[in-house]
Amino acid sequence: MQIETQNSAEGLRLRVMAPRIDAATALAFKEKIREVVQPDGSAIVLDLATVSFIDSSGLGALVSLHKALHDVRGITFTNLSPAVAQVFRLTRLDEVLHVLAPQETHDAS
Amino acid sequence: MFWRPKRHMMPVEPTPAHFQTRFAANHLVTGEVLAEVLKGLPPEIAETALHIAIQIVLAEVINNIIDHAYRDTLGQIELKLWHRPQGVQVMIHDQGQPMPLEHGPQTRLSAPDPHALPERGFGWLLIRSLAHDLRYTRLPDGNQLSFQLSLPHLEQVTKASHRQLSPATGAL
Repeated sequence: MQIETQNSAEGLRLRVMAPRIDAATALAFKEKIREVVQPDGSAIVLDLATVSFIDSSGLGALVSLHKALHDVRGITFTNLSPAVAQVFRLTRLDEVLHVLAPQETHDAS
Repeated sequence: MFWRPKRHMMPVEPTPAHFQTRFAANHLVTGEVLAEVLKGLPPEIAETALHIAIQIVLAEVINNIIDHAYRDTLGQIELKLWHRPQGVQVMIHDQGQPMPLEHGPQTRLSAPDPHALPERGFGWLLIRSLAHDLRYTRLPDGNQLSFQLSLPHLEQVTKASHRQLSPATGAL
């Protein structure tokens, strides 16, 4: 699994270059993140724009990432696809994980 | 005339499935199988909540079969799908071990508390939230799970999850 990193105003942006984070790829995803992220540094923004789908194993990987990084660096998730936003809502993980609204602004509340 | 399966043993299959497939119980092929299932759906379902729900529920059901029913063996999974007004009916069959009770659909587990930051246990929560008429049957040669997904049900689920979030969010 490929992760692109980019320093930006809001911190270190990690772009997950994969269509799915699921039972087949969750482990590789966690290992790859560990490779590219140091335990300390600026806040992390995990950009999920190319990820169309995340299953329960993928959610577990995101929670584990949140636990590892939230207190030390801060981590937010952004650009959730409709399917990813749906699993965040149904599991109520959106109450705990920090989700940044995507760039474009909506008038609807 | 002939032997007929008892109704409580096997949900009836009234008409031939609109879509069916058989595949290896392997996490590496699940993504491809789901893509194939989505292609087989009627076009009016694309871009609806149903399109998303079917991926979520099937992914979790297939994960459970691979991780529990076929935990120690290789095997095949058979999936049949029928179009219904505003939805689909799905039946999934495997030839693995009985689903352990704590991983079976008949157990009412409480939903994992997100504030405890659990890394497991979301699968059945997702299945139960989205599917209805969920029926698990242990057959002599395996497991059978059937369920329905329908737009009216999903609209209720969506409304409920938004409502639940509105005032309480961030209370912790």
